[in-house]
Amino acid sequence: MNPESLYPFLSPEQGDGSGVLADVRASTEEKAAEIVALRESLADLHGERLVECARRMAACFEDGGRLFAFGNGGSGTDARQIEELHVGPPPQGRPLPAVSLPHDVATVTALSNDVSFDVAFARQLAALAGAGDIAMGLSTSGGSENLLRAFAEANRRRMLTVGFAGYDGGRMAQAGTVDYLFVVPSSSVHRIQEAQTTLYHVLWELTQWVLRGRS
Amino acid sequence: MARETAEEAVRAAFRRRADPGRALGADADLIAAACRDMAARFRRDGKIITFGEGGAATDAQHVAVEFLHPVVVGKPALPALALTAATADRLRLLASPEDIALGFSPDGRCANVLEALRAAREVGALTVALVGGDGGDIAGDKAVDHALIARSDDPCVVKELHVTAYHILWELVHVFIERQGSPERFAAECHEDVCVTCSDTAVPVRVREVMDGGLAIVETENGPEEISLALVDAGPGDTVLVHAKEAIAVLGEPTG
Repeated sequence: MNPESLYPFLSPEQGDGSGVLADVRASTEEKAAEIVALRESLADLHGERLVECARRMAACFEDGGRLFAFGNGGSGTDARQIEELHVGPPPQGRPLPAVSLPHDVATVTALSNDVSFDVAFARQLAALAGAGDIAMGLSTSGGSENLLRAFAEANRRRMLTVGFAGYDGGRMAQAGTVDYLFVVPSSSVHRIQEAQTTLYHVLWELTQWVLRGRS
Repeated sequence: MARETAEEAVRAAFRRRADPGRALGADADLIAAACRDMAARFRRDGKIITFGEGGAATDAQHVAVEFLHPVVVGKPALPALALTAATADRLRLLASPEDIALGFSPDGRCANVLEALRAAREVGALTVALVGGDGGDIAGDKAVDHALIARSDDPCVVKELHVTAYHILWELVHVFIERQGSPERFAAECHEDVCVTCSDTAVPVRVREVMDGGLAIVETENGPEEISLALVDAGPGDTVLVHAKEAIAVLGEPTG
């Protein structure tokens, strides 16, 4: 991508360091405002379904269900954050069973080496999960093959399926295997990831909120 | 009634994030200065070493993959390493004076992260900390060159602000590199459409000469360039696919 198209204010004539500093400062302010606005729009867009999804998740947890999170790259690190947040919540939270599939390095690399990376998360779900458990997958494009296969497997196993995607939801939106799909309508991979972080945090908060009401 | 309350809970959750989000924009000067200094380290062939504990370890991994394998096509890969544990020992073993150490601590009070940052500073590395709350011990420590504080006491909100902060750090480091003249190692290897280091697409090139240390001289349209052969078994005359200065596959049969 041509940096000039992202930073129209950049031109070779402005070569001094202070010029760059000023431009970079402006760019930072712009991006911060962009994610604040995007995040605010999500309450209207997904608020009701977040509550509904949290109720379903809380019911799964009450019945002994566990959460399995998965994603690739940066979204793989979100899977781990989801595990950490559920298992070791902040002080007032209730610990809940959750596992990040990409962080079982031995299994993921063995499956990828011996079979295909496409089956990595699906095979893990097939081995570990069942009806009443929760499958939670994150993708910015919505098109990762291994996520689509994992959701298909989760759906076959009658798990509750929760997905996070960007742009228009991609293939995750068309697959019919995701019970609750939360799409972040942005064309920036970075803003999508940032908004998804908020969405799964809020979903966790609401799940805790529902569980507090029940207990 | 319950439905009403649920909606309020959602609204409150999103509302709680607005002010801290705006505060990030107010730290634009600090972010810009950190990016400038980080770009200077990459220009000196430095790498970025990232670390954190618990949930913060996931941010260390995330920012490392941003640098090493950019999602934006055409941005050069920059060397990055996420530590499996935030310890001063690891920093002493892995850090070089030209490097950047980036530590995460949502409350600014993670003792191991602070020790690791101090160790990095002793080595001579640039130290950057992403912290939250009031910044804790880490933000005020003299071993920390740049501390960016996410203005929230909620660890979830802090994490969200950190994700935005390191996305911006990544993007703007590249602006400094592009704008202030690319370092030689990028500039020398980028000519017209053939860009052995920067291209996201692997480029086929012919090996001219194998050197010590797993390195080789290859022929490109624009003259000889040095690459690594560490991952493949190739010799002079072979055609190899190169991505980010690393041969990743052998295409041709050896001729000599």
